[in-house]
Amino acid sequence: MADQNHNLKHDEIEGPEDPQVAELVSYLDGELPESEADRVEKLLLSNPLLRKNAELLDRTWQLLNSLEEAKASGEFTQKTLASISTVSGESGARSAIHRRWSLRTLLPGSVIVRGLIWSLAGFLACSAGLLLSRNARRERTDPTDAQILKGLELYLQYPKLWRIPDVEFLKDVSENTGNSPVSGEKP
Amino acid sequence: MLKVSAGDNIAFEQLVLRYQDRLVAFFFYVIHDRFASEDLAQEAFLRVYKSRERYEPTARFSTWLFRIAHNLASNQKRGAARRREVPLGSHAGDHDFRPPEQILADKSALLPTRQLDSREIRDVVRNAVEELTEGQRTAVILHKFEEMSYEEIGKIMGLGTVAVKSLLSRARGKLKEALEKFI
Repeated sequence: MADQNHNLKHDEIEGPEDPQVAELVSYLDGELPESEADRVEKLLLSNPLLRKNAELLDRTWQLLNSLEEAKASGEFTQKTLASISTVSGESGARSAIHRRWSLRTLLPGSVIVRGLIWSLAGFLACSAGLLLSRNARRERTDPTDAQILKGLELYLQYPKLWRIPDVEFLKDVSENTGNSPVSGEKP
Repeated sequence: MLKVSAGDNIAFEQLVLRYQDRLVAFFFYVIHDRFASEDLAQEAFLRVYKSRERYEPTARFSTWLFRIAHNLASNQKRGAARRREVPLGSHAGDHDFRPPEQILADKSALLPTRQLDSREIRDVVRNAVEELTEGQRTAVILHKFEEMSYEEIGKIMGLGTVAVKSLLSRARGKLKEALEKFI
């Protein structure tokens, strides 16, 4: 008996097992080898008490069909998939699951084709990035800076100019440099 | 499941759709609480998803899934017993549960002039199933409603075939004893 009950928890072992019931149950469950099943069938034909016992076991088993059934609610699938996408931590997982698509399904063909598509996408992304950065650099140049650069030559000469004697002298300098940013201004 | 292991989310959705009713039903038969059954079924799918990369097709997927479910149900039962949230003999579900003796007493005055209606039979059967040990009940549910063999049940419950046979013969003996008077 101890051998038969190996692996069973202590509270599952409830005294001696009725070997006749065990054999009948195995027979009804189709778990007996053919030779043993034939033997039990012969016994059932010859023994009315055993037959009645088998019938009761079978009919009480059928009564389990009256148990209330339970099914998943309408929102179960959505809830489950939503919880999984949350847990997985993949930002795209939710939409991938709910919208029934994924990058894998969007990219058809073999590994080589997929590789080429990815390479092309990478090249396009890099080109777009370069263009955007160039534009951004241009936009960043301040108009005041441009003005300063334009008069740079004059500013470089400032140490010589800070003691300008008169306006005529300043005009001369301005004509020499080709710029006239300070014409009419006093030093 | 192999597609799920490879990261196919659509395959996982199909897996949920295919097994969700069976899993919810299994938990409901074991713990008799519809909401908790859905929560546990959700948890079971979550565990499947988390361990999808470790899945090896050495056994049927349903065996693997129900082994997870069995562990969850056992843990839930143990937790409930520890917290005493579900006192023995009462039920957290939405049903009117009474002990079998009470049902018998109620009906004995009326029998045999009146047959039990389907709801009453259901209550009697449910109480008879409740009287089984946890292992017997799990084996009965897997065998009766999932039509699993002794070997598959053994894999799910971590038992040998002989132990499963013992669980089922004891369970069916008890069910016969409790229910034969209603046949």
